[in-house]
Amino acid sequence: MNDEELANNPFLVLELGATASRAEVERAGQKLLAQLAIGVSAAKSYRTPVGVRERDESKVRIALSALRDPEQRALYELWLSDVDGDRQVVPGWSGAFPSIGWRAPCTE
Amino acid sequence: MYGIIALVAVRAVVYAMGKRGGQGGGGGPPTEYKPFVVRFTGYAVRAAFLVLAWALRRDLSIGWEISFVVWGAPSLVLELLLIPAGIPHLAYYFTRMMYPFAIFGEPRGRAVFNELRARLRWGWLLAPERIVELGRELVVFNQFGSDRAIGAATVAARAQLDALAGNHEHARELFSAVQAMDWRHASRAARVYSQAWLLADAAHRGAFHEVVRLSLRGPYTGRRWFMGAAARRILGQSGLEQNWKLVGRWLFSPGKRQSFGFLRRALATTSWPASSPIEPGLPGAKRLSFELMQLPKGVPTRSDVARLARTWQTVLDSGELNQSLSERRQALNASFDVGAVAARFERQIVALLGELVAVTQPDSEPEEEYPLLLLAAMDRLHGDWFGELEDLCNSLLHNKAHVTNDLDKHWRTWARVRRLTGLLSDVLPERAAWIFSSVGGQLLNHGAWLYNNERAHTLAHEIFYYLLTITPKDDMNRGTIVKNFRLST
Repeated sequence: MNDEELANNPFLVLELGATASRAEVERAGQKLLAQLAIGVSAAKSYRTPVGVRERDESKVRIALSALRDPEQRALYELWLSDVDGDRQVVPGWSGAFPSIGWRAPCTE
Repeated sequence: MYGIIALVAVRAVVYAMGKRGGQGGGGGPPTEYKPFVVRFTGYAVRAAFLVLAWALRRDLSIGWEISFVVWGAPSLVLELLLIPAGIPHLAYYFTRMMYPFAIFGEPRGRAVFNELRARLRWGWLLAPERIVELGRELVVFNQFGSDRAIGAATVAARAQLDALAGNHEHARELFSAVQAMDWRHASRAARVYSQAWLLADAAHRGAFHEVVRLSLRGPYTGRRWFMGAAARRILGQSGLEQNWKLVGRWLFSPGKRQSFGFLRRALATTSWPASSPIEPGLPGAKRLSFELMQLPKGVPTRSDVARLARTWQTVLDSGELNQSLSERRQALNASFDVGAVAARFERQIVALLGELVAVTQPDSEPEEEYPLLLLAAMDRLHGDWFGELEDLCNSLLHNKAHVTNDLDKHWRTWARVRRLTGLLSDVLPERAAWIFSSVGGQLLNHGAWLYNNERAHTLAHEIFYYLLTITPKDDMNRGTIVKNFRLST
């Protein structure tokens, strides 16, 4: 389980709690799909314990499909937590390369 | 004036020596000397010029004096004038002239390396056409009957070009291989530069746990000493609580003006929040997992991860997980196999612990008994890295394989091998001893093949040099490795 797998938990993508009923899951999914289709900006991202992530239609569809399967749903429920907050990031040192005389664009 | 004429005359003689060897216009070696001998001959020649400059200081004019000093210590001109001022063409030709093949080897690689350093001083000097030309220049890799033209500076130049092309992962591997090279075969300038680049790259990405690891090896430099300490301070690791210790290290590091901001940031770092007391059961284990995942990489210690593993172990052993899944199965009116889901969940926990372990520093005093889940996570990392290492080493050429003359590929493969062995030694030092028993034989045979067939003496030496550091004293192959190491030195 890495950061991405944790952030892609369908419950987080659909912004639902572990007790959401099947109907609530479908409603949340369809609502998000409709919002994404018309470009509602609030629907384009969601919060996770490891930082904000982007949301698109394919992510919502994958989440819906995962939660329709009870076995997968039970597994994802186990990874839900009430922990608040966000990943704390130590920003990089932007002057690191210039300090060694390397003044080239640092793109990977 | 006479001094300059003398410089050119001496260079012409050396050029002629190279020609007489008959292996290329002024570039080929006259005969095959051991790299160690070549290197120290170079030092002796340099020293002779400096001694002459000192002995004749009263009899010679200032022009001759300067010429002798320049011949004796050309690196001063490069490191203090041509490279810092960003004068690329002069840096290139000065290197070609002052490090002739007949005495020093690898003039082209070293010249490309120095020109790139000078160009990088000012971003606008990075003309794409010239970068392509310099890349072509390094094709010298395959021109000679041996790898004498290739040393640390040539490999570092290749790494610079990789980084400029945006291929940072390959650049990291090559720079890492250069900084670990045997000092008898590699110029200090190239090793120090490679180390500085790796430290800068890790600090730029905010990967301060990597900065800490990098600061534990490579050439001893003020930069390494300071940056390692600053990174430890940023990550809240113990040992450098007093400000004056960090300031003292900064004073001994190069580029103080540019690194002042970094020093201030390290000094201003406050400690990271300690994890909260663990609630019993599944919610507590999840809470602790998220808390550790939310901390920056390198902040959680190996003991924190062991604590998390112990918490999860308690949850799994208590049967709470299976009970919770059974309840959910009933609530969802489903018919899945609880045991199978629990097993998948356990694999996910092991993967999570593996992610955390991979960025922690090993304990100076490892716990006597790690929890089973943590051992499983270590086994997983071990399997991933050893699997790739063994595949790589099994594909290495040996014995009677045909000559390929593809030194670029050999160096890159070796850099990858060193990257994987470095990861194993850094993260799982207690298992690093297995490297030799797993791939030592293949590396030894590959080194011998490189030396005998491919005539890649420098690279073969690097392999024997590394093998010497990991071979157990009582191993039957140790004698052969020592013999090969001496032969290639």
